[in-house]
Amino acid sequence: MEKKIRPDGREKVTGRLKYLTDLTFPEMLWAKVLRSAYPHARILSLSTEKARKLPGVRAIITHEDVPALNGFGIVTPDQPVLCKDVVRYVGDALAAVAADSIEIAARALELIEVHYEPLPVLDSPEKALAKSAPFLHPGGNVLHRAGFQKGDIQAAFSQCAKIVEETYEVPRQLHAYMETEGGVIVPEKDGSLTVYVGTQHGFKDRFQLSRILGMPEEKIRIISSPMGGSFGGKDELNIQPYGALLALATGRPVKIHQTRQESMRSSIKRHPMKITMKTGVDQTGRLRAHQTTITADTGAYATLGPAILDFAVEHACGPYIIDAVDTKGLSVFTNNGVSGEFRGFGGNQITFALEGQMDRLAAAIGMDALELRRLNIRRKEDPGPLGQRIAPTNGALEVLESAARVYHAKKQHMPKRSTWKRTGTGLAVTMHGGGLGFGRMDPAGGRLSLTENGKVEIAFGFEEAGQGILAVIEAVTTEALGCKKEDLSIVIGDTAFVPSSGSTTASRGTSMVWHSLQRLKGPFIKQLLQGAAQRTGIEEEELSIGPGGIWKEGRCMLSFESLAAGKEPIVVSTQFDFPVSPDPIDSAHFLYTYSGVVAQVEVDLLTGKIKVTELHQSTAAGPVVNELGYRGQIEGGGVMALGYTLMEDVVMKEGQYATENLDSYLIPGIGDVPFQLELEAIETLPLEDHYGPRGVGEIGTVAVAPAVANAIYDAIGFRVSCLPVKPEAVLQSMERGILHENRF
Amino acid sequence: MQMQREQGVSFPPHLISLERIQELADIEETVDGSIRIGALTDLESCRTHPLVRRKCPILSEAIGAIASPAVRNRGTIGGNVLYGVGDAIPVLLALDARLSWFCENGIRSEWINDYLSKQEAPAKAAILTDITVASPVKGRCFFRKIGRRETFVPSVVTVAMYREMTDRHTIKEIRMVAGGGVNTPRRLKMCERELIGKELTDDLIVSLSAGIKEEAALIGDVFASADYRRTVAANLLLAALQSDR
Repeated sequence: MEKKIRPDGREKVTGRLKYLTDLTFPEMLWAKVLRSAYPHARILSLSTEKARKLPGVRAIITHEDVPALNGFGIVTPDQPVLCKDVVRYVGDALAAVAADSIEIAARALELIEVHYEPLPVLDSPEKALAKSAPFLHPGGNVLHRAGFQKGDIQAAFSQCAKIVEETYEVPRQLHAYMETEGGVIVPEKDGSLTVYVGTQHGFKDRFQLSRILGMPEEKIRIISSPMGGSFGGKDELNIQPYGALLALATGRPVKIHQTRQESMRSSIKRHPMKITMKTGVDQTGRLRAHQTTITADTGAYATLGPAILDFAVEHACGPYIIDAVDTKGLSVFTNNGVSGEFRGFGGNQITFALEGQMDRLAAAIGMDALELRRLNIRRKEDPGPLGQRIAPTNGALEVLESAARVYHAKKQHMPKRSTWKRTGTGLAVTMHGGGLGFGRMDPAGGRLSLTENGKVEIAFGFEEAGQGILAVIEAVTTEALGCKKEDLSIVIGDTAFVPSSGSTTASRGTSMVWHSLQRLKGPFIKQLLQGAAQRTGIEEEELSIGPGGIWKEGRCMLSFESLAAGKEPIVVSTQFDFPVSPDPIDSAHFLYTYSGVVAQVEVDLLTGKIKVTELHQSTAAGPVVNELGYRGQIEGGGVMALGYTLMEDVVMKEGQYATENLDSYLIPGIGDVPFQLELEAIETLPLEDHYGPRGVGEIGTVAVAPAVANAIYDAIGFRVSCLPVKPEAVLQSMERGILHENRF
Repeated sequence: MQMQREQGVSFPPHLISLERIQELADIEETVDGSIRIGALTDLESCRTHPLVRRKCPILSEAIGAIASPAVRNRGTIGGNVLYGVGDAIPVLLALDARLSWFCENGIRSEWINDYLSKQEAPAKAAILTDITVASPVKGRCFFRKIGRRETFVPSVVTVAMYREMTDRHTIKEIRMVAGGGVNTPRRLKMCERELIGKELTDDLIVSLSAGIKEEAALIGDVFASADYRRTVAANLLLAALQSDR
């Protein structure tokens, strides 16, 4: 396949691309947000009097200045825009200032006087669930419960030959997008508002802002692309309400761009979870019983906490067929940072536990871990993990067999043993649902037009966050129509011009672009050819679309410009829903992608440090739309997951961030990335499958951690159950006598 | 200072730039064959200087472990030393470097070890002018920095060592250094004394482990405990002793 340079590639590489946080406007003010000093406190008083007297301060807002709903949240708006009585985490906002400069705004924040009465800090789910714990929200400290039961779990356990039980703990991960939250909010002369702030879903931001400002949605325009990364972190509102309120208060454009520290403090993170799994097999290696308890630390507010727990519950038995399953999940409010949407959406956490169980079970019954997986893995027609019918594919088995080949090859070519290093190889597989799931509104759509100036305009409500949706749109549209990329005008990221396509999330972009084009191309081509037939007098049936215009027998008969000249624009739209299972099971997915990961690690016996030396991912997600984009997603996802596995953890102590910036919260550098990053894309789908390419935005992050953990066991016999893997724990495990050679 | 500013410590109101004093930023060989490095030499120039590469490659290696290329282009060797926990310090200690200071009444010189044990300039308003390192031709050098990722990372443990043997395979001279994190790198003098005049045997090496851990006295933080740091320092130094026996 031809390697195409993405449409935004050149501008990004040369640094010429303007992000929304790069924008400035005449008369623009700078804003900053005052966040809580305490993780949990009552607000006794709040005075902005001194701050208002500071020269250069143009407006200060508090809860009193929120005209309509003082709350936001994609599903439940339980997070105050500006707190009135109580603060529930250190990212809670109390006031915001617009001033002539950033320095004045920062100084003004220092002059705002807040008196707090500290309240008990619930810095863990255990504390939040204690009987004596104060309620963080009127309904108590449990945000959400989810579960799934199948078969008689107790009876099934009693028939097992071996049972393995382990508790796994996974950390709070930071998205660490390069561009922190920010942008400019401009009040227009006609009383409307233009919001230049990155988000994954412009229309959802518009809806949430309208609810806060008490302003009709039509008066709010969201310009939201491009973004310097998001990974799920910018789906929820962040600084938009403060910029909007201040722009309306001052009548001037207001810019907010959070520093890394401000971002760390207020942004959502991946849910830390504690997962206990008890899994039993019979003598032949068949999985018989699987019991899972998930406790998620969802932090102070709901955002997408419930959906993430549902996702983890759904994926608790992954691609395996198990007779009896009992899964219980609990998402708990705490005074820690807010947890929310993050690439993988609960799948990464649960897969680490599940694939850890598989290797432990195999060892317990003396079976090859690959064989154990092969024996239990789902086949094409098997139901999905919640018992629902899913799009039948052989993805699970295909990635397993692909990974198995790679695994054996790597085992045969292990590097030479050195005195102070040990090498190991590990494998893990997973399946991952795309789209929002059954019972959730998940509409998509797009619009295709021939504009007056002869451009083929393709418009979507998707956002470009670096993931490469522009390249996908270009590839899918040119292929569907037969025109060339220069004929296209791609329109995204502006609620004034795009149709609603739903959120740019849940690996749905690529899939929904493809589905849209399948619906749009027929009527669009027909109208174009009809028009061309009228113009040229050639029979419609003899014409086709080609590069630059309308073709007949290898010759371009009419350019798009000529076809469009003097005519009403041709516009074709589509609206449809993301495909779901015919079985009405809440949150169940229908389209899944599959991944098999093989990792090789080198363990330093002197320091306990782990270096991942090779990472191979086999991905089954239907046809590849754009080879470089696909590879970028899988490799980038892999590296992000290596960080999750080996070093990333937003450490919180009593509700305060111990890692306040990227000098102590570490993400991998290029030196931590294995030189051998390999990918095998399995593109085959059953003949009857008409769902096309699936998105690969998340799948590359999901099964890396367990593959690395299993490789560490292979190297030194240490079972990892807690991420990130601490060199200290590795070293201690060896001191406990698992490995004696060459030790002091 | 830039990092401290990010952490909320405000800049001093006035800063005096010494950048244009050329003499503070050169590297030369002295009459006795040592290398004199101007305190304002940027780390990258120091790392890549032919004299340093040829006569003191271990210093070049240690500087390569400091921060990132961009930081090494701006940061100076003098700044790294005065920071007190810089990653160039362990090797400079192991090589017994000398510091020269410009003081009111002339130039004063002292061992880097003496400066670090009190962490105070020899006179008020003294300016560090240069660092002199003897070329370690007779002995073997060792350096290793451990951080929480491969590069551009604060040190968790940094160790360095210089060792010279007699013809009878006994240790003639040894300097062992351990530092990392907020721990100012320090010489392990008691351990060094244990080794002087002795032949390196497995038993001797093993017996040293507890001593290194104790004398290194590294303290921990939320990311790496004191015990971990001490164990790693001991492991690395002992493995180095063992491997080049």
